[in-house]
Amino acid sequence: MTGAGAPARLTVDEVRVEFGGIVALADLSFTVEERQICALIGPNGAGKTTLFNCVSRLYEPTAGTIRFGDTDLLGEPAHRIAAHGITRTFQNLALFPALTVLENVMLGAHAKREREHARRAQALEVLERLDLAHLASHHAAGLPYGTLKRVELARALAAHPRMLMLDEPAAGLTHSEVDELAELVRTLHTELDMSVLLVEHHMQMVMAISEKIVVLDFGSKIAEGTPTDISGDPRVIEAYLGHPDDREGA
Amino acid sequence: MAERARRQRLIVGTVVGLAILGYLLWFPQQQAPADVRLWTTAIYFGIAAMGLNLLTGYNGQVSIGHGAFFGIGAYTTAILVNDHGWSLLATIPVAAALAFVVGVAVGIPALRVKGLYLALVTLGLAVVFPDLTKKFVRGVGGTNLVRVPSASLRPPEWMPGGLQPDQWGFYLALTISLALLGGVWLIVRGRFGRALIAVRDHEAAATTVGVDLARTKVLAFALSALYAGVAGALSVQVTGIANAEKIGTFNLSILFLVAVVIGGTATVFGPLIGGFLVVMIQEQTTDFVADPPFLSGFLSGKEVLSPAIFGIMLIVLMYFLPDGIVGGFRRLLRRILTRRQPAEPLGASVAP
Ligand SMILES: Nc1ncnc2c1ncn2[C@@H]1O[C@H](COP(=O)(O)OP(=O)(O)O)[C@@H](O)[C@H]1O
Ligand SMILES: [Mg+2]
Repeated sequence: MTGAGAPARLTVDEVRVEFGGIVALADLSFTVEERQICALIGPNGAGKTTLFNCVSRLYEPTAGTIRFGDTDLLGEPAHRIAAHGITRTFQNLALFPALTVLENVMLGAHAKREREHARRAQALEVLERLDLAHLASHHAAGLPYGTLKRVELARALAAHPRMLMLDEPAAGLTHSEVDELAELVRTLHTELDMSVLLVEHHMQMVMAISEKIVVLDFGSKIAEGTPTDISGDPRVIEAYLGHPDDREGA
Repeated sequence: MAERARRQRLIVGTVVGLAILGYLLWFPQQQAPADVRLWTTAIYFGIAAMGLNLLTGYNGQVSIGHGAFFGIGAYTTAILVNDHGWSLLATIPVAAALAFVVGVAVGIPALRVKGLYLALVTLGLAVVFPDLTKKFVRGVGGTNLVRVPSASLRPPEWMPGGLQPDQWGFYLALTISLALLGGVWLIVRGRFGRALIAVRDHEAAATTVGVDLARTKVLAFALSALYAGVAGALSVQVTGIANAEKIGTFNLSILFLVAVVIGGTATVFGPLIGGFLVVMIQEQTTDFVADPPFLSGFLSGKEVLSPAIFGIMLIVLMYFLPDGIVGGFRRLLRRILTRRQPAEPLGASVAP
């Protein structure tokens, strides 16, 4: 499997999102460098998913810009984001239950202009890579949760993204599955030559694979740095690591 | 295992399909013209239902206004034949194209509404359409009824076999329905079909993989309108008229939807079967009520009963086959096949 386009830098600049009176993102700025694994952490309600939804163009920020390389993402319609090489998974599974695993993954490459059999071959290749090939003709409905999360990951990889966004991929997985996932994300990251933006509560996984961590609290960035920087930051410990409830989503 | 089951299903399907086709080809040769016309009606109902199934079954948009697109097809054909001397056959592509274009025009504003609201908006379409025809169509005696000359219902000259108009209409509808069935089959198995289902099941996820929601929904609307338009054009071959009445257009819209549901939503063959059943059940209940064998002493305004009996039959059908005829057939087939192959984990493939 090879990446289609080269990764580009994601620049989030002064992005603001409000829901009624709630400020979900308060002029947030950060970057994901090309080929970086960047983690976005913070307590529940901090605004992590909201940021994903802004990049996916599902939410409209009230202010700010989001650029991917030279592209102004906020000038693009939502369905064009995949064509720019940005794909994602959802915090709560968002598969198409009536379709087979293979069809789900083929939809992941929907934006690519290519022949149907090429799309199928490519989807099968991704399924093979994630040890899901034997489930290709199964309907997504009825498969175990952990498997479905892998299928969703496969769907996000089918288009060979330049940047992959994962929203709590480890949530609901067992400890050994989390370790496997961390390893998988790390190897896919180099294999496919892509950037990764990771939202995750599982700190062990975050610390193990991230090159950079951005910490959010109430829609604002309260810290940013390498895993070593972050684990020693008193504000982070207070706002986030200090609450044992939030330490592990699982 | 799965491969073997698939092959068996393919063999069963081919045999059943060929048997049905053989019977259908033979049918008009032996039956009274009235019966042939009834079956032709069943076929064009199936065509309209097939199209509505693309919209409602595969794409999750409920329309109770497709009687209007049917009407557009019928009027296009009737007016071109009657006023402009076209051959009926030549009008069918025009009826299809016009219904498609109007489908786009209606589908774009319909993007703003969903679910029940969409149903209500499309209902409005069915209600307004007869009024529009009354305003713009100059038919028999200034009414909105357009009648085509009976000569226009005869088969074209190049057609061999000395077919009667009813026989010609049957074969024409059958041929077109098979082509349009092939169309559905190709759509459902391809990129666009996946997009339809993705939009139905999860709009946000569909968007993020690159499906253009607006384009997909409008195209689904227009395609379903095209199918309804073709059905309307074929109805002129059977009835010799185009005539939109308020109740009629609304009824048709509901019946198309009923055909989709009892045949099996989001199945390729279901709507054809559903269309057939709707027409046959309707015919039987109307006959029954027109000449009620055991109630004749009690009832006078008998037509009133027809919808009631029709409704009861539908409820009974849906009670025994909640996922439609095709769904029920699939379960039956699965049970037979799994009895012979107990290792196959087919139970897992049921959608929620
Ligand atoms: N669609 C929405 N409508 C209203 N409020 C929302 C919506 N999406 C998110 N929010 C609010 O925005 C805040 C951030 O939510 P979210 O981004 O989901 O947090 P996180 O993913 O970090 O847990 C929360 O207060 C949440 O209730
Ligand atoms: Mg979240």
